[in-house]
Amino acid sequence: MAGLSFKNVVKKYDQNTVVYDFNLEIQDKEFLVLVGPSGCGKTTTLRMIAGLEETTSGEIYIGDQLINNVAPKDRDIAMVFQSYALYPHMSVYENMAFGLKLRKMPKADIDKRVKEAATILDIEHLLDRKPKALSGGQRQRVALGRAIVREPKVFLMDEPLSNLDAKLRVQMRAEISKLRHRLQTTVVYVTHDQTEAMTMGDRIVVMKDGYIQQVDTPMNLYNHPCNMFVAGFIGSPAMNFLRATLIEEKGELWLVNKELRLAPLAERREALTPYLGKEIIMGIRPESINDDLSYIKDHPAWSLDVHVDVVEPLGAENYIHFTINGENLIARVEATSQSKPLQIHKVAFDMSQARYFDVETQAVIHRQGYEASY
Amino acid sequence: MVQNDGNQLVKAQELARRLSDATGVYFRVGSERQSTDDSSLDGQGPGQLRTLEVSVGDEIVELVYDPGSGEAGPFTTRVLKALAREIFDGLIVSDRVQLEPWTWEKLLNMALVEKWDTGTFAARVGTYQLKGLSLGFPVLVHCSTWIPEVVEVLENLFPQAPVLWVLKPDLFLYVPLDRNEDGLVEQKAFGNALIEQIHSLLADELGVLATVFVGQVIEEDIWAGFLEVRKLTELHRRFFIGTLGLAAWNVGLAVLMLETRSIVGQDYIRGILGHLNKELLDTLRVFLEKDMSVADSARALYIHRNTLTYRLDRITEITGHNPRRLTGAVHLYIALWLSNHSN
Ligand SMILES: Nc1ncnc2c1ncn2[C@@H]1O[C@H](COP(=O)(O)OP(=O)(O)O)[C@@H](O)[C@H]1O
Ligand SMILES: [Mg+2]
Repeated sequence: MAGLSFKNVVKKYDQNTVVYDFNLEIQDKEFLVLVGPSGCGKTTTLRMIAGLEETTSGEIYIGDQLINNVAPKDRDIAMVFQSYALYPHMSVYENMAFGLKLRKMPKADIDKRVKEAATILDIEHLLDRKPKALSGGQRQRVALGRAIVREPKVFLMDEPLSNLDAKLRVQMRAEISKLRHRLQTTVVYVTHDQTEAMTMGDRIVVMKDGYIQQVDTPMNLYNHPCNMFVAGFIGSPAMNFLRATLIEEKGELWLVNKELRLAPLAERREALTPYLGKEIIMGIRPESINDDLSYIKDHPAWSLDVHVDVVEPLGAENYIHFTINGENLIARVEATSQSKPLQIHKVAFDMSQARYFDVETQAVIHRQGYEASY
Repeated sequence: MVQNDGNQLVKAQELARRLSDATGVYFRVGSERQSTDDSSLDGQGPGQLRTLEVSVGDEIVELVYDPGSGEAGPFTTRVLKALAREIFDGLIVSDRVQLEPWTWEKLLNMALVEKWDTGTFAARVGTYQLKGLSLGFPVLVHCSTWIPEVVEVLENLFPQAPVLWVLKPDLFLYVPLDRNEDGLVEQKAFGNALIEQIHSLLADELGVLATVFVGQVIEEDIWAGFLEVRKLTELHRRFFIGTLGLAAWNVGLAVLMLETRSIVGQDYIRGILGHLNKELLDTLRVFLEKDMSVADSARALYIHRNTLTYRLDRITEITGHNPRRLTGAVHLYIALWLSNHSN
């Protein structure tokens, strides 16, 4: 078992850089998720760990060992994909043993490892069967077994759940979680789906255009995004953004822009003061906007009249689509909400949850209460 | 004898020529010495050319051929006997030459070396009486590095494959369809799955990065299948770089674009999409992905349909193409496709 570290890793294809100066320490036994939009360099990063692609520069370590020049099959890693092919004419036992045979492992060791893996996966009773005689779920377990017998230091998974139907996805997710707890191995997991990242990762690396944006725990990413990209990428529906100018009136700060007039939390004064008289971007999550009457009454400086476009009832809650200054926003409110399409409606912004971003750099302006993960 | 008898030499040359025509392997008359033990010919080292010895009475005629262009097999022997009976009288074939049977792989090798067209290949298949193939996919596996175990893994993954042609660092396979994959839909699903299955197995089992190309289902015309998958590699390099591979039915517009100089494509993209901002581009992309459905697109974009309508109007104003109409959508789609697929 071992952690994994990247030191100034760069990947270029010809002149085209697809991973920039990647630095990261992954802990032993950590479940680390790489997430970001398609083309941001996730698969390339994973392939550099596996040795399928060479790094253009920089160093990758598994534990203390520099692996840049270690052949892929000697790197002690296993890759798990979404589509599994088993050798059709081999039994389950032979399927699991084949990779070890290719690595010229002695028969007795192979036997021990295959039987151990079969126990872990609950497939001891299937060892003599051929793949044709297995169910879909059983086949998947055999495929996982093939990786387990190699006793890898790191599991690499590239979008193993995308394209699966909902039922199989749930089944597979459970399988991966179970596996992870039984094996106590480091996992690097790639996905473009932020929900999957948030539910599975100990820590998450958010990537964009080949750059790491933020490395953090799911809660920190949600509560303390470092920039507008992370803020907008994590959470669904996405965070709302509004432009406003910061002014001071009678000793109080206000964010104003035509129909918009909201008071930032007094605690933000210090962070916001440099922006007095300037335009900034406020971000607020749909779940931090509500239309509860008593809340509105208690927070007049956080309340606004808005134009409701459409109300989407989802059973347990409603999404209100509305506009301020012609910008589209979404509020996630209780199912008891009285909002009606095409009407003016009063909503309150929970300004204690508002985030502020620099218009130029798109970086977050304040991070009160942020405690960095390790 | 050959040396001394001009008439015999002409006969031997005729034999070589007609044998070549019939088999596709190029034979010519070898050493003009009568020695039968010396295999070095025309100053070439032993082993580069192979010799086929035929005895006429107590004399020997040597025919030589390049094993790179194919192997003389039992069929060759039959043809040779027939021709010899016609040209010489009472000729017999020496047993000293080991004759190997023809295989699909050898035929493919020959087709590659001699740049056959598909008609020639089909004719040779008949000539060499190769065993028929059932319906299947031509598959080309391109490995970023070559290790011999790739063959072992693929042989075991497709034990039923009748053709496995090694072209280091590539490998060409013919994967027969299961009986379960009767329908067209199932066939394509099977073909698509091949790409990821082969890629993942080689990556995980051997640490080899493979790109996989799958052609349309074929039967017999395996050479045409090979030429098709080879073309797919070019399309992949131009338009699908970074993906695991490409199936023939997913090339879409790429096959048209291959003929277009990329500069034309760039002009086309700029002319149509050049003035759209990111928000409008994203809107357009989703709208076309959702098959021009306003309701589905608005939901996917988390915007109200009025907002969507407004944005589609803006796109129409800016580009001159209305995405809600087929003709407009086609232009916008092609431009978007090009901008996504060209580097
Ligand atoms: N072999 C390659 N040659 C050139 N460019 C490539 C190659 N592989 C990937 N890329 C490019 O590198 C970028 C990152 O790709 P990838 O790591 O696959 O992204 P992700 O997995 O995040 O979707 C993309 O722009 C892709 O087109
Ligand atoms: Mg990827």
